[in-house]
Amino acid sequence: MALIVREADLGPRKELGRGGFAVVSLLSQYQLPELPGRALVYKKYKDKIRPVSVFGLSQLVDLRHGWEPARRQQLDAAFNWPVRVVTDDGPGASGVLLPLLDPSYFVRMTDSYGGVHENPAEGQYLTATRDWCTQRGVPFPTLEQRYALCYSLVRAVGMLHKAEVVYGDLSHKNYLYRLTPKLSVTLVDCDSMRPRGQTSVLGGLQPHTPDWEPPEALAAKRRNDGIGFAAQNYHTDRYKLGLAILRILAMDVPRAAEKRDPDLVRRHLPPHLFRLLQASLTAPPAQRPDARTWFEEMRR
Amino acid sequence: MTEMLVLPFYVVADVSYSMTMKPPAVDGVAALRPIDAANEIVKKVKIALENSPLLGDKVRFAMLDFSDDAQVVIPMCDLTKVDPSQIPQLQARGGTSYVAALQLLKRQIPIDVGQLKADGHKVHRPAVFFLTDGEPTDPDHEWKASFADLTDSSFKERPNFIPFGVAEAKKELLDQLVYPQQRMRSFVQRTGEDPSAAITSMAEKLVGSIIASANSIQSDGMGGTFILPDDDDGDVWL
Repeated sequence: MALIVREADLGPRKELGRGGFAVVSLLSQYQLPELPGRALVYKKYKDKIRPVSVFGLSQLVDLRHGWEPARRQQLDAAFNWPVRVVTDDGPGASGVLLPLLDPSYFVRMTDSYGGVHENPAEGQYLTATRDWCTQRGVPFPTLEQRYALCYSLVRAVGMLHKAEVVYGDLSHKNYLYRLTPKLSVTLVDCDSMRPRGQTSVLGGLQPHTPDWEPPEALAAKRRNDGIGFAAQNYHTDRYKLGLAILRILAMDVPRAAEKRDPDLVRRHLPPHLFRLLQASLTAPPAQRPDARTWFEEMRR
Repeated sequence: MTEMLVLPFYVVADVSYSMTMKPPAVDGVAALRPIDAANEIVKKVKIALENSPLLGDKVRFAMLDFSDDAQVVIPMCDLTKVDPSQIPQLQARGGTSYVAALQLLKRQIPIDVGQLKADGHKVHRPAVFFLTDGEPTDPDHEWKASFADLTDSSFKERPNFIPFGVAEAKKELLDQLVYPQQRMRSFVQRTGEDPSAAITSMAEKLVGSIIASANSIQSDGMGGTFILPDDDDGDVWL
């Protein structure tokens, strides 16, 4: 089945925002038969990162399409997965279509001038102090809520690895959270994920967000090993999952987003989970606990 | 405690009288005066920094203005900790002396960098966003000499320098104020564009550059770099 669409067929679009590598626009009329009523956005890559491989992106899009509906629904809830590859008259892919993020994954913030903004609820807000949140009117989640968000993140990474896909650049900017109607997270920027055994089409742009580099990447950087630094695999995902859990649970610790010491949250975790966190952050790569182990231990 | 790497940014704004000239209304909508648009720059930067719990610690911001003379309007600070009511507004006065601005930068940067280091920070090379709406009133050889002095390799804190030109500013002149020449560039408004709209666009570029630069910083101070504003909207800038 052709899961590639032409930009010229997308109809009218309205720009929602632009980042370093892409411009995101809402498609006001374009719909997909398998997602009736679901609004879509077009993430168009800037020229400076093109050409982007159509084949590589198609692997991700086709993978999702091949799942049975129940499984696809679960993954769609946990990931903002690309649903079509888009091409124009330029080289390679011009971008991807993605489902519009649910409004529950946005947080309302008040700035110091009294202006109100609806921002994507990036995980970075979970690392903010209580004072920071209070000043901006952002809810400061309880420990129980944070625990539930960690559980949702563990479940998402577990599903992804079961589907044999490496996420890659997991960071506090690449997952969004919500406290209502259901405590959950959803991962974004999924076009840079890669099916295991393949190269990410966008992963080279930023292999690891600063302060999220696994120890083996930092060691590679110190010996000027660029390829070693950029490596992303299940092991690096597992390290970053541990780091995310640590930083979500740190609660009201200044600069929690930079912390790597599991002792910081020892008091917030039962011993069996604290051991998992220690292993995630300090064990050799191959001995880091996988998401499934986290999932099962968190359900105990 | 690990030293935190901070990125100092300077906005240097031309406040010559021409910055107060109101462009004609478009479709019945009154345009902003360029100086009013320039005053919005600080607000945009401040809000962008406030939106992230991670960036305030990494960015330091100062604003200077210049006409016949130059002055520090907002001393180097963490903008997220400043009350909006305390932020001074740019006021127009006099002509357009690049020399005054460049000489003030040369004096001020070492003071600011020294203070940040004394506070326990590692300090990245400063970045200067230089906004002007016209040609300098100084003789050519004087502003060129001041710029050469500011960017001389013997000046340890020499800044990255990115000029933005609106209204009457000339590309061929502002290209001479780019430093380093190989890695930075000028942004000069296309003829016929509304200068206020161009300054608003500049503010967005500046915010994007500050955020991207701050996001590149590692907490251990081992990584981080100044990231030049995007140049993908060629419909506004030459």
